[in-house]
Amino acid sequence: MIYEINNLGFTYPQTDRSILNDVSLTLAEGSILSILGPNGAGKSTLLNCMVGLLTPTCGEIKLFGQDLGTMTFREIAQVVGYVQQVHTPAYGYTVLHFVTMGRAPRIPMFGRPGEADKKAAWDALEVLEITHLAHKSYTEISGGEMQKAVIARAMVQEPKVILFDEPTAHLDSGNQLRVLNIIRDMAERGYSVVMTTHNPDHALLLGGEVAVLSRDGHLQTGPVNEIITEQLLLEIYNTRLCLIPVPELLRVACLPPRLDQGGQGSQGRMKALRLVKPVARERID
Amino acid sequence: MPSKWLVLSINIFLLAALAICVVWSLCVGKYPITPLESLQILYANIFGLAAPTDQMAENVVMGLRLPRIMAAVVIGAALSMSGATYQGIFKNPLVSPDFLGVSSGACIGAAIAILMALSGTGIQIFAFCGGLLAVTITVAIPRLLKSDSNIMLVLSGIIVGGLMASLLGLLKYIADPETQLASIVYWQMGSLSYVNLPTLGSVLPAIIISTIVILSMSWWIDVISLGERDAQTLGVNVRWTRNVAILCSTLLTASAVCVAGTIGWLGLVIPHFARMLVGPENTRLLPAAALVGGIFLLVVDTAARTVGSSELPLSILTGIIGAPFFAWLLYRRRMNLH
Repeated sequence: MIYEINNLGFTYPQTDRSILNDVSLTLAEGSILSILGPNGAGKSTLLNCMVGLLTPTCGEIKLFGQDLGTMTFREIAQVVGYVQQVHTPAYGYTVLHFVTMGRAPRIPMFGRPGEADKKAAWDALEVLEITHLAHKSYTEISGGEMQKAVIARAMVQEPKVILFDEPTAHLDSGNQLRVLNIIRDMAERGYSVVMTTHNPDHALLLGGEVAVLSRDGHLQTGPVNEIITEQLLLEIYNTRLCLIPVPELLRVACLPPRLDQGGQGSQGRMKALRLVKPVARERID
Repeated sequence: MPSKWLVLSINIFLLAALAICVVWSLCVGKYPITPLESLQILYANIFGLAAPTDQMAENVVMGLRLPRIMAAVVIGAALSMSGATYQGIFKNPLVSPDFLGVSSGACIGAAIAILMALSGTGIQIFAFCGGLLAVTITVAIPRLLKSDSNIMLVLSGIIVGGLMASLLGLLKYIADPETQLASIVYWQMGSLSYVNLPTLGSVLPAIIISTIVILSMSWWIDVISLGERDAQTLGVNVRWTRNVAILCSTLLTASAVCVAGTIGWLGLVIPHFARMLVGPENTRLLPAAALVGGIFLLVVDTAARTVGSSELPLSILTGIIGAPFFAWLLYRRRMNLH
């Protein structure tokens, strides 16, 4: 077992609202886990607890049998890679330099990355097919490219498990699918993968296990095709979502029904939208 | 991003420029000396030979100008490295060595020593303690509020800086306008005119040790500059690393301030300029910033003692050059982003 989480609870200080409630979870080696839940249910909080950024209010997290609270950030970083939501750093380091920083947990304090570390970073760039960005400034590449760079950085940590916090947020459809493909590849390469997502269809695409956080912070887990039902989706998102087998795609897709019909407001909005002529936007980058 | 070889050649070029500036600074002044003569004097003194020229020239070069040049280069380098380090660990390019309250704290210390009619050494010790005390308060406020964030530290720096400025105002108000006030003001504006070798020697160990530590952790400053959470998930003990870096850059600033008074702008502007030359990676930036800072302060100080009939305080010149230069840098940066 990589992770064994028992009866975890988390309450942000100075508030009474508990985010996580009696959450239990195990993660076996080589498995894929998608975490679903409504906004504010605590998906990111759970991931932050799993890497030690937040200390749970109660319960225990064991990483390879060791209590997470007794581990240093360095020890955690040697086995857990964390792909957080992309943000732009203050300085425009090159993508290669940025990815090389993933070697930090394996470089002695006061040391510097050597040739082997740079090689590892370059290999990760090759796996993600972004070697052409190596010498570009990280602040000047697109969101999808940044996401790939962050994933490459997690790879060079050589972790056993990689946690993705909403890896598809802020990406266009093409990049969303590319990132999901990368995540599936990572699982095939032997990494365990945990991903939070707002899109239940992504959990269906990825397969594996799914964990659903409810509004009151409870968690239920199981295989994707057993756990995800229309009833459950209605409970999570307070709205109707349909699970439709699509023979052409050889899979079940999670799709929304047609938008509300007949409302004067929405029709007016549609008319207004049609009136707006598409204007070619100038590129601002 | 410049290649490895380009960075190397930039550094060689900077070293050459520094050497030329040193010789130039040895020659100019109220007692002009030819470059050849000054090199002969240097050569003779380094190898213990009898100086081929007159005693007066030798006294001027070895006794007055060389110590001052060394101080200018060391202090310029120290302030620039300290600024670059602060900018890295607070992932904020607008941070300068003054902002943790180091400079204002050192000023208070010096002003108190001046009011107590202490000598040069006394003023330095008080300045050093004042600087360290101010930083301690700045670092303690977020700790008391149980916050570990950078923004809290920056705000705390503003609080301490403001408090120190008021206290300094009070000290100036009660100072004797005939003698002490001028001395405090002069100190506040920075000057190298009273520097001699023993003074420089007394702060040199702190500067050398801090420089070695900062240079050896320069790659880790890059990691921390990604942000606390990123650095922590990359296994960095952020609090420890950041505190070591703050301690070292504070030592650099305090050492510089207690020799030369407060010199504005340098620690803010020079790292930006060096970043433009060699890129943002601290492993390259810190040595380049040190060289550029050394050259810059040497040129400014030489100008301060040669332009006009009496010496100009350094902060006046660094401000007049630094502020427009910074505006130009911002303008250029904006152009590059589009």
